[in-house]
Amino acid sequence: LTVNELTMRLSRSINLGLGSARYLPGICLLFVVGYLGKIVANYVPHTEYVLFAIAIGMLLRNTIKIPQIFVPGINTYEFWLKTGIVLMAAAWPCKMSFPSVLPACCWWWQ
Amino acid sequence: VIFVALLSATYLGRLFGLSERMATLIGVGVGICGVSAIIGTTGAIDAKEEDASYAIATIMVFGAIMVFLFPLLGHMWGLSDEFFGFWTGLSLDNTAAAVATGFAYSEAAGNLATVVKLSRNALMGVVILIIALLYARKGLRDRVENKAAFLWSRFPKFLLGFLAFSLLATLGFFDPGQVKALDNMSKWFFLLTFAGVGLSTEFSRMKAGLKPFLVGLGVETVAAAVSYVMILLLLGV
Repeated sequence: LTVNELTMRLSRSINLGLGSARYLPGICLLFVVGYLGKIVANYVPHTEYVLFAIAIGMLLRNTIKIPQIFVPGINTYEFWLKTGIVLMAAAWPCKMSFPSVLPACCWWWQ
Repeated sequence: VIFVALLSATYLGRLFGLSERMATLIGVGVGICGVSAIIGTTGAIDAKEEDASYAIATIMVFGAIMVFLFPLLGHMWGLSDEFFGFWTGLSLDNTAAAVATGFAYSEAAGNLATVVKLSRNALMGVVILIIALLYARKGLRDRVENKAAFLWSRFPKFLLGFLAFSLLATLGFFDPGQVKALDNMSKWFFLLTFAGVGLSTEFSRMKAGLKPFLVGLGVETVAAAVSYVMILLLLGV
């Protein structure tokens, strides 16, 4: 790793930091839509908020034109999915009994 | 499931007169893990970007429909959390949609669906490699030079993070408070994800029309049915 490379990487990560501001509006929108889903789900018994979060999101996307400013942030959802899955693994051993996963592993790795 | 999806996509695609590449793309999407699989395969078989974009839109709309349809069927048939988790993880194409569908049923089902789906994702590279080799043999694409690098480039890297975290947790690295905090954080991230799934589902982007949609529907139905039967046999419920 040369000094040159190091400066290049450093400046790239600084750029990344500044550039990340453009994700903010969309991420806020994601939060608002998701939280709205949670609120609605409170009023409808026997439902999970997931359905409402997706339904409200789809409603917005397909009825009005989403302003360009939100688009970069909306596209970050896959990042949240992956990070959420990784973090979920921390709580995983106490939540899931190993035997229940075993058949799946055997099946796919046989 | 993966191979069944591929075969039926190719068959149905031919029936409807789609290009073979398009059929393969949709098959891979439904069979493995939707969007990222399609992108991976697009490069591997040198498909047109336009084909891929339609395929992705189709997969997204599909995922959104399944998120509502699966829990409905699950409740109607009175499936257990375990059964539903397996079923969702095995038959849903898009990782985001699979996770969402699982959690739309119950938390236990969501956890299981996620894990089952992840193990399918881990296999994605292998399937894409096989397809690439088949296409290469037919002379439809260049040879695959380095198979290990090809596999590694298509391995979902965040799975390493998942494995690392579950290993740390199993070793007792986190105290219960930290586990709770991480779990909560993961739930908030999922909230953002689910909103994003809805906000990324655009019906009008399925410009390719009804045919690819019908092929996808056929493949998905076959995949769902096959995995349903498979779980019945596997769990012996």
